[in-house]
Amino acid sequence: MAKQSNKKLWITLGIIGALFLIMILWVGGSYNTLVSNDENVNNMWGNVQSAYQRRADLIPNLVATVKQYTDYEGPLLTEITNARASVGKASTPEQLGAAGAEMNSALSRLLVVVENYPNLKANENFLDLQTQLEGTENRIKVERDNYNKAVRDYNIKVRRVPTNIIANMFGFEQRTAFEAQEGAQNAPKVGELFN
Amino acid sequence: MKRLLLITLILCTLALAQTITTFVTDNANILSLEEKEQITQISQNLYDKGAVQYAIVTIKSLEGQDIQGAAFEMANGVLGEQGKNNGLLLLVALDDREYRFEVGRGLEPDLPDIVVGRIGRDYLVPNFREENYGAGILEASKAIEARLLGQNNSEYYVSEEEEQGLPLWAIILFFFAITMFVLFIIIFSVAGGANSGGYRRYGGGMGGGFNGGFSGGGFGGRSGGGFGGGSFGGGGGGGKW
Repeated sequence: MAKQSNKKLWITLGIIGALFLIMILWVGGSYNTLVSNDENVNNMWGNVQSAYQRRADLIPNLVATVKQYTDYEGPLLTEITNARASVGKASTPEQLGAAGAEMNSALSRLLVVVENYPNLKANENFLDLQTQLEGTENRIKVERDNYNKAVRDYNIKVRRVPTNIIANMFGFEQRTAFEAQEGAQNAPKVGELFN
Repeated sequence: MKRLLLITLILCTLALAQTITTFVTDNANILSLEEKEQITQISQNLYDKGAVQYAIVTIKSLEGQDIQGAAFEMANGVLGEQGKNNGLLLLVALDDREYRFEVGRGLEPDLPDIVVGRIGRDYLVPNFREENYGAGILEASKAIEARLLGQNNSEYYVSEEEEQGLPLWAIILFFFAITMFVLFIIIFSVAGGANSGGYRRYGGGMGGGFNGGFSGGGFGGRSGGGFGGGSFGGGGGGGKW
């Protein structure tokens, strides 16, 4: 009789132990998933910032070339330089989106000005700059899309059962995606001016 | 009736999908057979040398779509070896008079935007303006070939491998726990107990947790007809003629 109840005790303990282990593994697995996804979002965010920065870095060259070929010195060039600074300081999708839109608007207007200077338009340097600016616009778009996708994947995990339990326990919150800015729709079509 | 609907749907999606399967796809019919062969030869050469998966696509019209968007959609996840990301697409839209080179991430060091832009301006545009489409594409392709093979840059951008799933120890422990669990159930039922139904409800919880552990979400690639499925970053150059 004693042997029988001892056996039962061990079995129960064993089962509880195994279940406990499984529980821990599940929690660990979910936590790790959330961490992976969160880090992926951070990664994508870094790429977005790089893309914006890349465009911003072309600005000094652009400003110098425009100054060289035109007698245009003005508030517009200052505006662009300031927009560039804002991009560098932005740390959230809202800020970055806004700074980007600011720069879009200033760049568009600059390109309208450039229309009046055929020498500038034909200049090889300027054509190269134009290609590069276009390239950065595209990269910004791609990286924003990648970022938004990463955020979406992460947010889904944070909201779905049963991972949302773990998310709540460890303080994982939903992250914001990039919203389409009004300015973004009108990104300067740099290529179009040069036929 | 339902079947007809299904078939129509499939055909429609296929028509829109337009996955690149060959080196030269001349939907706009601007290339002669001979020109196509010559261009294919260049692509084949580059492919064999492992330098790049270079595809040329001509279409009649972009139909309102932005050329970069169209080129990106066609190329991303299709051209270029996965990891190496050495894909390159030349898209020509005849009615819109626009062209674009879409450069894969791995090729950006060798074909930066400026270089590709210049190749387009210097080789493609002059020919295209005279409607010598074949010559334009051929010359531009040769320029690209020269650039890629002359400069053997073997440091391609490599997508980082994402850590997927749980560490090994956890997996071993998991299986160990399962084995013990099963063993105990066997012993338990042999010993003649009741309540074996009570342990089933834990199955659901496990499934949810571990499904999460194995999907890290990296660069997926649908492979299209022989090409690798590399990724693109939006780089490249193009213009109008």
